[in-house]
Amino acid sequence: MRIEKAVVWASFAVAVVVIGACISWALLVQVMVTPACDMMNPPANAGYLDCQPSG
Amino acid sequence: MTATATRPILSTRPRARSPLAFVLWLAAYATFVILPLPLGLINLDPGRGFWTNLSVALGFVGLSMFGLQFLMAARSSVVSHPIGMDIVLRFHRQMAYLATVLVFAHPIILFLLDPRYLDLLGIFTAPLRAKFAVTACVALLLVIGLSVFRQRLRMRYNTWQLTHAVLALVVVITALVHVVLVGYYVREAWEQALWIALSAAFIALGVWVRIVKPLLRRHRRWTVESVVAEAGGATTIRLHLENPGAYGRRGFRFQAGQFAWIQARRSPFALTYHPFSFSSSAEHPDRVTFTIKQYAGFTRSIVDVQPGETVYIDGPFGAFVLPNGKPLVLVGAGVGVTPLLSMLETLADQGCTLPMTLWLGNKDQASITCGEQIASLQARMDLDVVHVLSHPRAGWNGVTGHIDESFVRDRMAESLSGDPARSLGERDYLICGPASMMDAVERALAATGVHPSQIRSERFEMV
Repeated sequence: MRIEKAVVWASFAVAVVVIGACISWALLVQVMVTPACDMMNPPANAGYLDCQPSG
Repeated sequence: MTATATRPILSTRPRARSPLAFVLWLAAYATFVILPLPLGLINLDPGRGFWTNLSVALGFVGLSMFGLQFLMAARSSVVSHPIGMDIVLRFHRQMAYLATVLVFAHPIILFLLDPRYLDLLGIFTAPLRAKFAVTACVALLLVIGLSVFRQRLRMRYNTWQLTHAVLALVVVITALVHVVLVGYYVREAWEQALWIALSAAFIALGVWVRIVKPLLRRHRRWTVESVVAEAGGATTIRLHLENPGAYGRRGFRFQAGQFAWIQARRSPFALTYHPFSFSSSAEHPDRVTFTIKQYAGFTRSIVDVQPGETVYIDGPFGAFVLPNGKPLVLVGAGVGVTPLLSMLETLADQGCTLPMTLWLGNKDQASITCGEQIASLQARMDLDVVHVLSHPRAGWNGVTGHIDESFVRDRMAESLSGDPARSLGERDYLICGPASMMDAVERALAATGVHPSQIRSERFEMV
């Protein structure tokens, strides 16, 4: 029972770390280089862009 | 530094797991999972908006987790030793659910963001990269569905295992092809090569351990020859190799003190093998014995095997082996005597004439496991046995107490006043038993001037 609890907690901790890393990465990617939305000619394989209107 | 064999031996007592080891193991796991994200920042493609980026990141880490699933299922001692195989397999199951959620979150976010992405589900019209993604998702649903509903579907365990492995392979390969074909954030050739190489390595490991090795093992059947109840609640199981040629020209070999993973009453493809030390002579590797103390679970089921039944062995493993040509002091307690018995039997078979000493701790006279075997070894070699009983029954004239620091100090002092040829100070020490005993003996030996290089030990723990 103790082992099962430990594994559940471990899974929860890993989930938090992994999702946190994904969110951080998604934000970082937008600021590290010029976003595709701001480019005259975005890369052809960029797909459908998620461009928020800027103020 | 003490030469400590780090591999566990006998799966008997509940293990005192180190929380720190578990935390470090989890940290290493999480690092590998998110590794694609920092690597993706090198030569970064232009960002496609937060939600698209997040969707891609979830897909990356989901795939990374599926690659690591192969590693966790590979029953590698390197992966499982720090925290135990049972935790690794439970964690493997939990991570499969998490990875599935992350992988499915990837397309779902895209579909919610822009319904035009739904066009990629068209089987005939969608580009190849999308077809691979859909195949990966369908295979993943099948993996999870069959795992959850296997019993309800009355699917045989072996069939499920094979299906599980093949579908998991399909998931990783098709998802990998999807990543490479899309090529966004994985534009550079080295990035693509790294993804492919890592996936190939994980898959190859899984295929080797789960398919190739069990296939080989099917021809390496061991038959139970006898099952003998021993004192102290232990059972000695003697096995012989059905076909001695099955291990090739060199045949099956092990070193005294090593252990093997054992599987009884199930397919060689089953996941649940358990480690036990050999207790027989390494000079007769075609006939081996394992002395197993019955506690619960697998140890209880394996002692129920009957002569004539088939057992599969994966091994040998372990670095707790005999040093070359030196007088020894072997120190053990309870069923921890088993690798020491293998060592003594081997030395006796080799005609060893060097003086040997065995310090063996037990509760009382009736709990001395393999007492008769030890007595017969004394007749075959220069072996001095000191039984140390913590709660002896009436009539005991031997040493009473525990193998602790004071016991070791007394023995060392005693040997200094005796025959110099039998002095204990220059000998090598081989220790196997409960952690508290081993700690005490190692401390006492260090205090009496025994060099750490003369000490070899193996922790008596459960995997």
